[in-house]
Amino acid sequence: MKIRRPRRRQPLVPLTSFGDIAFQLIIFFVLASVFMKESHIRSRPPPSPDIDLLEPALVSVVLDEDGRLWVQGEECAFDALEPVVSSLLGERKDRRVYLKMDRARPYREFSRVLAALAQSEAELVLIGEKAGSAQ
Amino acid sequence: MRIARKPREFRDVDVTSFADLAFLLIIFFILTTTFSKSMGVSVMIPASSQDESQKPNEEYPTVAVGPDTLQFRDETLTIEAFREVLKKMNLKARPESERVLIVECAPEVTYDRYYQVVTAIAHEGGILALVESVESGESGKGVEAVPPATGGKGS
Repeated sequence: MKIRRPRRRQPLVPLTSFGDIAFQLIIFFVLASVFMKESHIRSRPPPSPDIDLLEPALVSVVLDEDGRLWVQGEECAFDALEPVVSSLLGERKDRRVYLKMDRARPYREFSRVLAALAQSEAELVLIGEKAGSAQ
Repeated sequence: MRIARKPREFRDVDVTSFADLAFLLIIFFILTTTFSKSMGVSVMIPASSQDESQKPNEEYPTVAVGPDTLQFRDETLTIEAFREVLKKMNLKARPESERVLIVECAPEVTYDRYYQVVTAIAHEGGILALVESVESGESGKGVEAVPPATGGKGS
């Protein structure tokens, strides 16, 4: 007797939902990314061997190579630094402020920034680059 | 005359390549992203005070930083030698009051140099006290110890 074999069916994998998953991933990455607000500011951080990797802070202050001051990517006057940072920090528990200053700025200039931030009761995170890393 | 319409065929849109496209986008974003790694040191600089009792005590060791010189305990040191001295002091094992170091800077000292000193102190567990540079009337620039000698330690 001849046994009739059932015809093999080509298995079909439904791929429609793959696209959904991938786009969900893209949306997640786009929303979770923190975009650089300071890419237009030119500031060379000083090198040091005594620094470590740090968690990101919410407030960022930059003193650029021309001696101009930037808060959250926007130019700010020296006299306005303390009230601006104080209002950004508000009553927050996490009072860390990223402070990135150009390596060539003199003490008479950057000490004003330090003093203003000290007045706003910020915990300063002095940004630099690991000595020996690419500049 | 009535014209018989052909029944419309239901056509499936092939969406298989959508997934490929989306995954290619993800791979592109992952490869082109530069993750921002911030390196630095965390310091707490206390706010300045007009209160005389809060001013730094003479007992605290002072690091005098000039454009080309670094003086600590009457010795002129290089930054490397200063790091060694800090290591020997074993600040981390000391109580908070014995970990305070006053940093006194000349107005023309660059941030590069100041940063070397501050990070070395914070790294060894020292507590930083800022000495503020001020214009001292007719006699030109000078330094005045302003903030209280208490503060957070470096990370």
